[in-house]
Amino acid sequence: MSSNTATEHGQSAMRFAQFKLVLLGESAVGKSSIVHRFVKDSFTDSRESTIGAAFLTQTIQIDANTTVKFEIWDTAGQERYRSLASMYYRNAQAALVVFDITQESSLDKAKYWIKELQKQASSGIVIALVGNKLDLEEERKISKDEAQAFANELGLMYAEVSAKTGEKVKDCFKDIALKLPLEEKLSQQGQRRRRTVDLNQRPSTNEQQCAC
Amino acid sequence: MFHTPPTKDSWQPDTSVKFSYDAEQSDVLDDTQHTAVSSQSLSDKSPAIGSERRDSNERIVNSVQVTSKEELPASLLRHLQDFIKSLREPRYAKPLATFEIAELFQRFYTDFNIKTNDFTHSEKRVELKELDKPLNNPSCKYNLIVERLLCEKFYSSLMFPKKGVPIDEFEKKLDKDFGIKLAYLNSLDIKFENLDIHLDIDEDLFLDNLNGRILPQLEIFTAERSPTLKLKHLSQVHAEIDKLIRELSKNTFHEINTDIYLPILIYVFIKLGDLRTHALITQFEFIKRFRNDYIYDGNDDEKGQLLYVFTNFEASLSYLASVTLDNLNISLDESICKVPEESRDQFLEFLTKPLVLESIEEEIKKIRPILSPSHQPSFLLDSSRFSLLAPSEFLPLYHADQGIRNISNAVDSSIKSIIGRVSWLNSIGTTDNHDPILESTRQQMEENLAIQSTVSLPKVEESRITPTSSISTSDSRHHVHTGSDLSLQLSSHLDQPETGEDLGASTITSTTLVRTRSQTDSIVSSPNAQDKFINKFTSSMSGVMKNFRPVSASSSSSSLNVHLEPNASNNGVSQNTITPFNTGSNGQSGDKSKPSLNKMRSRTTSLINTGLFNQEYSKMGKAGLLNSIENAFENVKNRSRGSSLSDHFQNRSEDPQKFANIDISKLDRFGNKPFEQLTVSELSQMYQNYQYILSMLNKEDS
Repeated sequence: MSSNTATEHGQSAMRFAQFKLVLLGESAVGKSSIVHRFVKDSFTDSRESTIGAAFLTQTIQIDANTTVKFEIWDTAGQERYRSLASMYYRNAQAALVVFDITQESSLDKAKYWIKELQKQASSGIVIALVGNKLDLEEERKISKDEAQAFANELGLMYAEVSAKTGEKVKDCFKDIALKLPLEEKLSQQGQRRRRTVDLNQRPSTNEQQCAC
Repeated sequence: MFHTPPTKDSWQPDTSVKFSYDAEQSDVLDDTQHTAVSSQSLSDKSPAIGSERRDSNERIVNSVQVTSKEELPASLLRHLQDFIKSLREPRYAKPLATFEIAELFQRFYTDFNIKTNDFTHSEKRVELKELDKPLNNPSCKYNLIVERLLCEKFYSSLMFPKKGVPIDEFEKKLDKDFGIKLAYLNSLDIKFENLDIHLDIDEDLFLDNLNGRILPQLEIFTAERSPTLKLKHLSQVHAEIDKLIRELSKNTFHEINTDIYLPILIYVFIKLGDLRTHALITQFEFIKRFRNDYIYDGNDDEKGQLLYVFTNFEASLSYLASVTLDNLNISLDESICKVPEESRDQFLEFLTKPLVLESIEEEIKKIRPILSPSHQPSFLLDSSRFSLLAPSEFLPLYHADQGIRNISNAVDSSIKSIIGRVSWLNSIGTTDNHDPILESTRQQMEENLAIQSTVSLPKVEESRITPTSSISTSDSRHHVHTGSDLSLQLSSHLDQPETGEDLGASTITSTTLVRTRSQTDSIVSSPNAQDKFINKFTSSMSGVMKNFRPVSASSSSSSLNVHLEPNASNNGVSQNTITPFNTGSNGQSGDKSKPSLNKMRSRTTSLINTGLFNQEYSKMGKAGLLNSIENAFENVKNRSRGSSLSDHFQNRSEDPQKFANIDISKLDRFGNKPFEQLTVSELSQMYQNYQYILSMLNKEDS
């Protein structure tokens, strides 16, 4: 689901890569709000997309020459649809597993998703454990140490954000972008291009055989 | 459509097409200008097509108007025509399953996209001003047109195949079952809460609006024939749901995310009873298989959105297929009492057990190995497949290879022990000419030469190369007219039945035999009887390997060559390696520019490695050959008699009389049976012969 291009722009090569990012977490932990804050930099304004906050894209510049575009897929957080999530995180290169720092059960659900991802998602998927509702610090039920320790144990990224205030939301996505295998994707793009050229030149031997 | 009717060889393809397929579609092929259906008929058949031209800023997703085939350049139109024609030509032995037809479509899409790019690049200067408008991007537009025209043309056959292909029937059954399940679910009193839908809207009001606002969109989705445009309509279904919820919402804002979309879509599918007749499973498979991915080139956002709604669709179907009354928190007792008694068993069947949609993929995976023989030629052509084998896949290959090696070692060590005493071989001078690449062939040659000198064979030997002892039977006929000195031998096998899948191996081994013999002649100038024996021995060894083929499916040298040879042929190198009948006319056997082929062969190939019978080898001459035989003797001696005897062997007598002391009459030759036809007792006798010869030789030595 990623497409990458590197174009010459004057003397410096502009690098662009697109990655699929999937949102996982219990219902009402604020998955969509985080993404909406990241994409629209707003919290409650009306949406333009025809499919709401379920599918959004946003680019982020990680350095002067490199732009990463996130294609963000939301998933259903209800327990009964849990088994369907794998259809959504198919071919995802990044996952944002969100929990609500004011709901203890939400971290347990997040742990479940992380284990699922590690078992079934693409190898090398960048997983970030994100605690939302940082603005409700006084209602916090899950300590930062506990969540951070869990993330460290599994080698995950960890962040605490507030979709409502926007605090650390962009930083979170930028950190993910920096961890994504940009060079590898650009290289794959190059290979795809070369293959296309080869296809042009190669006689369609297999096609003939199969048709026989 | 894709079934092969009985055809007459004399018919031209067009004639076959005309007589094989329904006349109403064949007229499409008659006129270049009317190859595709007319734009008017397209509009008639597909309600998705609107009358307005899209705005230049519209995206594919939002566009309703789709350009017609008139906008397809002539060269691309011709390419499309050719493909349609090829689909209709009777060229398959059996009807293709829908997923196989989809593979043909996908190949064509790829090919067409390449041609489109070529075309648009050549036309770029002319159309540059249009490129900022997505659907005016020629590449995108042409790909969409071609997908649409193809799917339009073959829609009925692809959606509702009638050829009785098992996998298609399986899918149809699953689709039918899904429709029945949907009807039962529709009969239940399912509310928002049963699906975890948390919306502050009037559920009844939402329900009332479904038929008027969502159903029409879904009907268009069903009626549309282009997979990409189906996705577009699915996206519009999402948009309409979003719009309806917003309108009915008591609050000013609703976050429409997947927490809402997925359960609402499921809810809609349950509540719209008509949808049970919409073949939703088939629709899903159709979109998945026949979608032209190249339409989205350069439109990643749109592609992502369409794929997202498609995933929602897939997830909804998957949930509906697998859901049970328990999942919905609905009491079985309460619900079943509303079902007519005669339907209760079916009701229980569908609402207490899941339907597994993934079983389609599993079924396809199951039948793929069965189907693969028809695709085997192309598969085998790809020698790179071999490099794709996982290490574990090499294990059986390795073990089979070792088995063959063990047998050949057992035989050659015995024979080498014998020929170690053949004085005339040892009397030949040595030479410095030593090519390690040819070592295996030299070993083969020394074995053959040794047997020539020790065993006299009846002159009728040639005709006794039986089909079973030689893999070189059926396909040798292709080479009979080449003028080879083995033609007559091979012709004696022409009456044997073909071995079918052994085809490739047979050819290769037979050719190997030819080269072995002819080269031996040229090098050693041995007496006729000796040649015959070489032939027999080599064919026997080939027979041994053939007997191992079932075990080592792709592991023997022969089967490896099956992988290699056709591919090499495609690359124009096959004649350099195996084909025997060119030996006299070219220097292919010495061609070192194709090292990969030799490298990829199994080690067993050393027994019949024809690539080694090259011109270099013949230049080496007898001295070089025998020098290598000398070296081989060292190894043989150590193997067969133990290293403690090495000195003794080195100082072996050169007296030819020694060998003469062996009473040949005491050796049972088993009626000159091929090796693989020998019984256990005969093999035991062979060992006794060996013991006898050894004892005689040892006696002489002592």
